[in-house]
Amino acid sequence: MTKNNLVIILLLIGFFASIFIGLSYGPADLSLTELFSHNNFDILRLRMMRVLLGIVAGAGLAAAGCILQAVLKNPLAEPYILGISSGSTLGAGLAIICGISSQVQPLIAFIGALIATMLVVYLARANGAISIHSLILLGVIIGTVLSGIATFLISISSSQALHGIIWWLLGNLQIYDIKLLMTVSILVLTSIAVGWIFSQDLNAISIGEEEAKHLGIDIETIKVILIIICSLITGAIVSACGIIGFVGLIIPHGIRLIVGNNHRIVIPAACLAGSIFIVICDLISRAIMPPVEIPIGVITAVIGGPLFIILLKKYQRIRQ
Amino acid sequence: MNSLLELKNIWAGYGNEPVLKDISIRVSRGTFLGIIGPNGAGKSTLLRVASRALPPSGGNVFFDGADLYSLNPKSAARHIAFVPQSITVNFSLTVWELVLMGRIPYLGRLESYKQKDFRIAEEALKLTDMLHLKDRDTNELSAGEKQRAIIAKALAQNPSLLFLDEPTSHLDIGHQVDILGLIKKMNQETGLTVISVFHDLNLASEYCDLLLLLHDSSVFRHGTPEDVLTYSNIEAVYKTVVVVKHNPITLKPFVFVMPK
Amino acid sequence: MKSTKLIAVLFVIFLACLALSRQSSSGAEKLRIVSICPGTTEILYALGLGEEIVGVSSFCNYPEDVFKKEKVGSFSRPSLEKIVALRPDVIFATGLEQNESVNMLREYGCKVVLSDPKNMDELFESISQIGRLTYTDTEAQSLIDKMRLELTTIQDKVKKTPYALKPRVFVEIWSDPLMSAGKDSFVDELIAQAGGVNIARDAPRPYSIFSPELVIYRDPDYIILGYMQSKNTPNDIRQRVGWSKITAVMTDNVISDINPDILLRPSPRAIDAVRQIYQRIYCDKK
Repeated sequence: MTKNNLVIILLLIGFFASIFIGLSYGPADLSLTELFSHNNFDILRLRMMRVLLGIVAGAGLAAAGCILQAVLKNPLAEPYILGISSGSTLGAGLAIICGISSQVQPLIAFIGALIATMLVVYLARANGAISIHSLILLGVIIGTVLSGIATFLISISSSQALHGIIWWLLGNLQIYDIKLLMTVSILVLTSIAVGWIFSQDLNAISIGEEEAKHLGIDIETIKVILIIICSLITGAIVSACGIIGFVGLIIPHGIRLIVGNNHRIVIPAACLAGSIFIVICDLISRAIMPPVEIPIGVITAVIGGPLFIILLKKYQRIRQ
Repeated sequence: MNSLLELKNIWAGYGNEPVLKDISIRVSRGTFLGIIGPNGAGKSTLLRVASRALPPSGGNVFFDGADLYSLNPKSAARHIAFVPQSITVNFSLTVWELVLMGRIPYLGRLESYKQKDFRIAEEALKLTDMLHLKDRDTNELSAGEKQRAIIAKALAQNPSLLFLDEPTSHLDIGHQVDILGLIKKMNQETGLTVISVFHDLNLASEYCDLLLLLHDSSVFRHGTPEDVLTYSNIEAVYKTVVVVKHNPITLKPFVFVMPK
Repeated sequence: MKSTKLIAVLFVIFLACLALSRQSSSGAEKLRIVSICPGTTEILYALGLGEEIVGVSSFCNYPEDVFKKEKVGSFSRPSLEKIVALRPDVIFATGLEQNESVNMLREYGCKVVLSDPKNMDELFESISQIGRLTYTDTEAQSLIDKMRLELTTIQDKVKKTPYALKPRVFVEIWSDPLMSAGKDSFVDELIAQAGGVNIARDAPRPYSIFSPELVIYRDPDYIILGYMQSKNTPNDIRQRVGWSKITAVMTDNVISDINPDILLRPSPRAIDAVRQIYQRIYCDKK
């Protein structure tokens, strides 16, 4: 147990350090004293919003990844698996093509995500129980169908709209709307807290649905609750940031390798690690090639990809 | 009520075709009951219905007089434990962590394990002779060790009724004797009621007080191994010729296979 | 007699063929032009070549007359079949997004002329070239002279302002992601000609993603919106977090009424754009 306490402390230190670094660096070359002076308050505020969104997105995606990997008993599960990525892409794509104002776009993306998930869950129900095999399969199928429609729409759109959609697909933490930021933050953080409350149930489910039933867990209700929570978290994040890949997949694995499988610790640790990861990736995306901002999905993929391969190799060795 | 478990007019199945048709049984406290029968006769289904895992489409299950399916899930889990054939774990989980999960029925959602839980888990590991392996990853255990770990988890639930689904099908003869011996010991020393599905008729004969022979979704015979394991019963149900003698030491019925 | 009738019929048929061939041969003298580049389309019309144009892209929208022309597809995806079916003598295109189509047309044996003017001199060069290819040299020259004259008038006025005092301008090409025009872009040239300083000069590509933080930091005096008003009004810009203190926003100098077409398109109307920008950043002082 003490090892886990140490890990949490290290993560907390990393968390605050990353916030500090994220605020200090950016395309505008300002020293700390300059940044905090009255003149540059607007830049500071912009960076604070981005860092906050980064924290929320990182924590949310990591938590949703943990929960889905446990519920679906599939180590390759990640937050977008239940059709969320394609549903929201279709929503956002439609919004961009129809020229809907940027204030309403996130809502359309969110609705798209939720509709897709509801469809997947509804179709996966059989005999009053939700089959997790069906969930994964349907997630892929519905995801492909919706992606196809979205791709078609993109192909007939103007090139300006195309930029917008590609930008959205690769994820970004650019945010102007403080109301959106607050709504997303509250929604995501509350949902994470609720998910964490079900840690015990998640622990039981991860050794098997039947096993969990025999330990007194009400499987079907819990599954529905947890899927709803993950959809809310991911849908909200996607509506504000577009699609940021890899976080929801590798952070849970990495954390489990270090702290074990008790979700009471895994979820908070994953949230901290996810936040650190995204805040640092966002920093890189802003500071590496000014004045251009590279979409954050590119950075998470470039760093996350190799990291995942390393983790996978380690995982394979353990399984031998 | 002397019977701990009662199944009354149970109809159950998956989808349209019922696997169990109008089954009624009573199991008294302290019994070691073996469920035998050909594949597809409904053994596993019966086990699932009786252990609160599969609601029947008709009839009722009573546990200690109360309707099993109306009980609060966690409170049912404090009395009833289930040992499956095997479990797959996709990540690294130590034996200790696995066995501790048996204490979940006693904890509120936000409660952590307490000293009492650690003590009981340790006891369970001692009983199953797994204490020395408590920090080992479950994926690194042999089949026999893994089965003992799963039994330890079930014992940590402190049940009064233990279900087992073909507990020794993956095990070699030595481990079979170990595990069944352990269960029998618990049954005799603590009065633990045991209901287990058996594939092997002779193991069932050796260890069980009573046998339940299932055939065609119904109860064919319910009685002592002497009553149930007769050549005519076995021929009628398994459609194969056998000769039934007795174990020279234990005197329990022993079924000899007659090749065609 | 039968043979006489036969000769008479043959003679009539012969005359008819002559007449028809006359028609087509007089048609063959006229140039057949396809332009899939909106800027070039405007230049062609300005040179009086409206009749010769047989096909345009769906993005070509000026002058009004162009709507009567045959459409050969969108800007980024022109229909090669349609173009070839129109039997053009020359096709005008741009080099960037239309590269693939251009290569395929050339493999087909079509004559394709590219124009990608990055600044005024290149635009004049391009007009000249078009004039040569379409035998409208005189018209081309007079158009160039007219444009040059107006430019010089403006340049004389802005010459006097030293660099440090020139108005700082940010052109927002797109909002989501935030995009602006770097050097080597035509927009950058327009701003320079109008006597302004483009704060996005260091962006690596002509049309590039730009960091909002830098817009705040570099504090432009004027912000010009390069897209349709309906997408984002100046009010939306004002409400962006952190943008309220930008000089352009505080002095109500978010300009959304310059037609984006003339801003982004190298064409004779570019001069209008320069004039409008100049007027807004030098004359309409609030």
